[in-house]
Amino acid sequence: MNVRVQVSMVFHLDKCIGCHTCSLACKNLWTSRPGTEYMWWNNVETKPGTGYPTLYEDQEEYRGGWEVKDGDLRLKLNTRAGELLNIAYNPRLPSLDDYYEPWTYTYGDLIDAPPQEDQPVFKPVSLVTGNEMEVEAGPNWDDDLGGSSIYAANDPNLSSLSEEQRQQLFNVERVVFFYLPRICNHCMNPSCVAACPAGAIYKRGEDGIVLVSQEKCMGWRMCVSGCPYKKVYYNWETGKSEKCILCYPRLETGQAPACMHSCVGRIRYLGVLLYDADRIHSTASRPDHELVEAQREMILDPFDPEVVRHAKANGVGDHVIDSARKSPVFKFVKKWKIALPLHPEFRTLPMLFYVPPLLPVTGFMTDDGLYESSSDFFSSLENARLPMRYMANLFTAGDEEQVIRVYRKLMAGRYYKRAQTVGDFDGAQVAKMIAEAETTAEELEEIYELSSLAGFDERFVIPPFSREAAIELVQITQVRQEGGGMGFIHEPRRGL
Amino acid sequence: MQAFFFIAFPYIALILAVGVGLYRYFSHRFTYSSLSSQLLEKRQLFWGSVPWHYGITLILFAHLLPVIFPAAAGAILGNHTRLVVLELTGLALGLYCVFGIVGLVARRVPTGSAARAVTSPMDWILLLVLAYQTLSGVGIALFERWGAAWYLSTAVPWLRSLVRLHPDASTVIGLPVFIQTHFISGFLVILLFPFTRLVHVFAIPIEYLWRPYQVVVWNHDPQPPHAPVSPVPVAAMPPTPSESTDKERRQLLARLSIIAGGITAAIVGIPSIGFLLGLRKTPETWRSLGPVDSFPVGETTAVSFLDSSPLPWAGVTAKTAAWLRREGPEQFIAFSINCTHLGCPVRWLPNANLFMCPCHGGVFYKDGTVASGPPPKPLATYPVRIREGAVEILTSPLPITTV
Repeated sequence: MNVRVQVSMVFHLDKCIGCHTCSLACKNLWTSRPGTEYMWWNNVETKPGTGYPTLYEDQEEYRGGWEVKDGDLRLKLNTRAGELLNIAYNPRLPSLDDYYEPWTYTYGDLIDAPPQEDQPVFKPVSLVTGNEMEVEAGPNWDDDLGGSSIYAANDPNLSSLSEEQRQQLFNVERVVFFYLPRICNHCMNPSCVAACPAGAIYKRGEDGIVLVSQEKCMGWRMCVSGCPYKKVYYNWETGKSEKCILCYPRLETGQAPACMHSCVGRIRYLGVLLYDADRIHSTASRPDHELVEAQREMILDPFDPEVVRHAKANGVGDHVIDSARKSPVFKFVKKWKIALPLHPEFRTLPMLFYVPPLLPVTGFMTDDGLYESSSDFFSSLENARLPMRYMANLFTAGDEEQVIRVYRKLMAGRYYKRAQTVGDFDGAQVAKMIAEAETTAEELEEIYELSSLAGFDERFVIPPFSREAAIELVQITQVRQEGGGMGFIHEPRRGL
Repeated sequence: MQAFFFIAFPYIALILAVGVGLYRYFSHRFTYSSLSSQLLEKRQLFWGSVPWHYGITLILFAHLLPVIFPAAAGAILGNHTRLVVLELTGLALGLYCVFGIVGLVARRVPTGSAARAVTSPMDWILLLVLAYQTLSGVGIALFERWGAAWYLSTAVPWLRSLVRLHPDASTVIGLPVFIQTHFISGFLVILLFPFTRLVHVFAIPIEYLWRPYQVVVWNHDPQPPHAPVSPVPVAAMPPTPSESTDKERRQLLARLSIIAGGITAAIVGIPSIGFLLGLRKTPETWRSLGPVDSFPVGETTAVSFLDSSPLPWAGVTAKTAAWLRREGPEQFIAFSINCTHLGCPVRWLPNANLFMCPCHGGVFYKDGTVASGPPPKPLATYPVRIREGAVEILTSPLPITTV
């Protein structure tokens, strides 16, 4: 057993209101520099939808992640030699149009315009070339466009749905969508690291954060293709790849990541997990439907004395083990098993988890203008507006059984609390639901507490800051934010 | 002036390339790469970058290998069919490169294009020099035929003399100016190397072929300074196998890469040191060509013999040839087989009583003087003597061409 520590996050999708505050907090802090304008280390996409960059989930096109071929786990992108042969031109690289061309406006025209008949206007100009441009796409261009024939209809996750199920999704009265906030998954088996020819991307041993060394990065761009989530971005100004750094300078000083701290819906939970690094390869090689369970097994129980002993032998401090026991992520993922990884079939063992969104209430107007919800108050799995098949494609590599198990528990929780607070449900029915969900009233109570009432200190649990471990404290990393990046001793300029 | 361009300038270029290259690597490593613009524009890039990189890599090897193995290159090119095939292959690769570099320049030209927006002044200088270098190379292949052959007798001795630190530009000084500019701009590319994006040539990540897929970096030692006090008896506590195997694997890999590096260094280093030490004195040896009676008076015959300092592994490539003419009972002349124009092997035509050069139509009389064509001087000769009824020839590295 090789115990390692991972800082990990849970997104409670039911609580996400799609306000993009997280994206803006991140953008203002990290990616407001030239060359990074198009990057959204944190983005919130509407599902069903094509995502950002567009159709990033289509690995037949982008070849991200891993595949098991002849019993061997290998990069989907290419062989090692094949990658080197493609080094002059990466055939699987998205172009800027797959994200969007960043632009600004000629605001100066409003002030500098000479006296004239008409009001002056400003025009959009490209932030790349400085030319006037036609804005055709932008951040969240598909925002809220569930049911759209351009965006939602092309969602790769809809491919295995039946024709009837798909029809329903685009039926105007039943149009449905939810939000999916995404940052780098800081995977246990990161394919961006494996795809980097220069060896510039690495996973930090202490907390599992995946970073790109800006000095070592040669800009071969294989990581961009290699990451199935397209969460590594190429900075066209500096010629280096950049990605979400999980706000490690903030974490090291005891602050929550900017996206988490600014989250209006309080959907995010952050804590440490202990995992067994010896099992990375075998877990990532398992058949599709076993991946979620195998990954959950890799995550270790910090209350198990055997785990603690091995952790200490590996240099994991008492305060880390202590915070692993209080970790909200551990509870959602391992204890209650209601948080699932995004697209486990990419086999990168992503370490960010999602509590799937409960099915939206189906409501309608009555003749006298009153709003009524449908007879089965919280809807049911059978007539879910978003088919279980779709959720399974997102979170369990297509295995509906596992998604349904999560939903049973979430539904049981809702009915249980409704019966308790409003009392319009039959106790026997609720008891039956709890039994079906293989849970207990106590567990549902705990889930409720952490989901609905938890304060910041319960949602954000990291080991206390230790002076000897905080290398970033001796450098003021944000000092070069405007100039071109953080954490440099020299200014990151390319020269002529 | 020529001394500057062919002796001083190459050394200036090389010293700057190495010196500034190292300085830039260690002090500005951030800039030690090529700024890719594929994200911004990829359709044109494909048609430029792929032909350019594949073409120029092969062309570079074709230029380097004869410098390192001139004898072997000579043996390969001695056959007419092989020479024609290699010439045509080289020309095709050159045109492939031209296609690539034109594409690479063209995509950066239009004002307002995304590629133009990320083009620096040094990029322009580099692109222009590279474009000139490629175009002049193809021009030489087209208008000064059989470059594969005469390269061996002109540029190769000069380049080798540079490596030996005994610079001798005599073999290139008389060449047409057009060819000379190709040499000079070649060294200009080397000079530009540390000042441009060209540094990425020395950043090709070969180690990717064997490094482990996953890279984990510990900012601090993963082991605690004090071993934890274990409540379990030592015997009952198995050593964590993962760590030890991990460490062993790392050590093994470290050792393997040292061995691989050592072998590579030896392959490159030993011959280089050999050059520097061994070839400074001009070796001279008398070699027997056979009994005097086997050469009829008034006839010219091809003779072959070992060169003055054959390498143990040189095999057939150590053999060299000459045309031997018996003028009288005691009089022999041995002509070098290399044309004095660009060094191609001349051929004796007994019916015409003339030496003919196949490359550019040089013709020599039976006494080696120029009859017609571009050769500026008569054929070179070797000293010959008669010892104990056998003809002997003094072998020594002859200046293959006189230009």
